[in-house]
Amino acid sequence: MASFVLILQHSAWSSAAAREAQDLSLALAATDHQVTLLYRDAAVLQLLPLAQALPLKDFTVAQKLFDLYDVDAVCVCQQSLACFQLTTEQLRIPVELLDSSAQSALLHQADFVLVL
Amino acid sequence: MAKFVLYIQSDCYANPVLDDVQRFVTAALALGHQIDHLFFYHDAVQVICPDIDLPSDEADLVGRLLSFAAAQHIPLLYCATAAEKRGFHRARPGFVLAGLAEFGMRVASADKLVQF
Repeated sequence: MASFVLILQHSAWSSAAAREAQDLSLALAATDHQVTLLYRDAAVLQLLPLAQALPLKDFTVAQKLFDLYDVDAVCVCQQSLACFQLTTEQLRIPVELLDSSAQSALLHQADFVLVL
Repeated sequence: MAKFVLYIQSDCYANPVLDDVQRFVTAALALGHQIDHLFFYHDAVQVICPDIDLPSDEADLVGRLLSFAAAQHIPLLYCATAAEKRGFHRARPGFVLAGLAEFGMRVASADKLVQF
């Protein structure tokens, strides 16, 4: 078992990156790795429930499965959230807010880091 | 000596990532390290497509990597779901279909994970 930090930085619908990052997160957690997700930049928007339905599958609702899959922690960059004038209460699931020094510490502790 | 897994997600036709990968693997092997496998995900799964017809003045970096990996006995794995989502149902000989869970299991024994 290894500890992973996956840094997500794309919004949900700009490309396949966000969906595939989430798929990888769940697969790594399901194979007994310790997975920490760090949402940065436009990726924080993935955590917002959709205001209206889209004509394609909303993969972001599967964030509710993070707990079931034993994803270790869901973290959000404090500065990114502030940039989009959002608060944690608006997000779909509970998250940990990390400032830049806490993010740096998180990366130092991980065995593997992927930027998705 | 360390065991490496290489994770590749960049578009392999839009930038020279496969050349970077091959130079990295060559250097790692020269230093006595082991390359467990290469895993292609996101837009990098386009490498498996057998129907790409390159102009004669462009280098076939995929073909070069296939020959190199075969000679060094390095498995070239790709994510089946990412490929199918992009309409790639046939793979160039030398690429091996894998799932994210297989990647998760194999990476457990790696000392280093390097992203391209």
